Amino acid sequence: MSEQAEFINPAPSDPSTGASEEWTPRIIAFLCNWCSYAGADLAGTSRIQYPPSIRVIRVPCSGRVNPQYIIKALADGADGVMVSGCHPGDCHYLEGNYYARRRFAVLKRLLSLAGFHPDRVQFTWVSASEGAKFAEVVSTVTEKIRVLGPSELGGRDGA
Amino acid sequence: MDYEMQSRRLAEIAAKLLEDETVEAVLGLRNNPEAGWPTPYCARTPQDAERLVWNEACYTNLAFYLTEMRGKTAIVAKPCDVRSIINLISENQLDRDNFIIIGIECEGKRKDGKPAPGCDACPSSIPGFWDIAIGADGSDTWCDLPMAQTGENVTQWAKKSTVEERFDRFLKEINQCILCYACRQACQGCYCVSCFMDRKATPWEQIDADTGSKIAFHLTRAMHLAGRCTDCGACEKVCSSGVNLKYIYKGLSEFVEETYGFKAGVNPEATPVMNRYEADDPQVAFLGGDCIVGI
Repeated sequence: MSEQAEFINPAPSDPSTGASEEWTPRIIAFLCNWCSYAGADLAGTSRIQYPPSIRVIRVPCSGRVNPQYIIKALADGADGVMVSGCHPGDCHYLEGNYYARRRFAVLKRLLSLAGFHPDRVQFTWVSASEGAKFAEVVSTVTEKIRVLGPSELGGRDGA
Repeated sequence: MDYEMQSRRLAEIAAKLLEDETVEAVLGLRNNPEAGWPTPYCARTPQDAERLVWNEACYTNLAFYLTEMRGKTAIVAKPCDVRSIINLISENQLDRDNFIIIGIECEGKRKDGKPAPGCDACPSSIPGFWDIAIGADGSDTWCDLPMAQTGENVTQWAKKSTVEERFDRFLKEINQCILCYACRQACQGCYCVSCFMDRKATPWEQIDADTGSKIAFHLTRAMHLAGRCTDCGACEKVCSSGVNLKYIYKGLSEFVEETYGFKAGVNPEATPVMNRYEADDPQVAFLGGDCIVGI
């Protein structure tokens, strides 16, 4: 496997399972432009490996993430959703992530009341200097969602 | 309950208010043989006031109609209407100086011979605030009737149930839905001029009655109602397919009350819970935080 191919489709961390075609969840990641997106960038430029499970959508602020986007992603069959923003107190817009914090707490309770597994939606704070933490967060989130298996709703596109 | 005495006193008060020109209109309910149940009615002359009724089928929540009234209005309001009015005031949808509340005591309404949806969880027979009072016996003092309060505690149910059980219950309700949006139209909290479901300009929101669209609609509506639902049961009362998603709204109200100490429809001065934040809000939903939210 060439280095490039290995980067796109890395071998599983545990070789004993031997399943390189092991199912990888599809996770929609909303990253805030000022912290987490830069953190993801840093993880990349630092050559830190993390699972290729996330599909990144860059947003101006975690407060810009309309809960509807997350609901829509799940309803359309995403296996999981991850939202990451600046640490509380570090918001570029001063208070966006504080509003987001309340919103996400309520949203998570709502989803679990409706029978979505709470682990399918993950919220976290990653700053621009935390490339290693970003990689770690993605690994943790991917592992949590991998355990749950594919979304009950399946993809609308049948994939 | 003495509906006859209450109706008589209501008609007297309404006629007097209109005669004195204290108000331009009295918003209440009248008998509607075509519909089969009392429907909203706007009395504008003292003669009109005779048509206002008050009986055990008067379960319609009138608070939303108040937002569309022009000129000074009196509204016939039972406890759930008043909770909704308080919610609308706190969201700057109503001007308190512009209307008079005729508070009317209510021990719960009946629909099709059964207690109406929402009435089983009603905390009190007395409205939260009022300008003119009509007690249960038709006098101007409250009787403070005992309430059944047999509504379920959704948080307790959720803690006992599994994820699969909750998903099954949700899907069972969703599957009956035909996306007619009657719940949205009846809801006091759904006053957006253009609802997210009606925005044709956002093609990413497909509207066909499949499970995905129904989930998107109902969950987003529930999210919008978080900390704003006053538990009046209007959504369930109007549903033609018998969809009962009030338990989700109620579960969120319980969560908001437990986590942020806010209850909708209590204090008209309070800032709505999702419109503010505290720097030390609990990190309940976050990776590595205390996951009390996940149930």
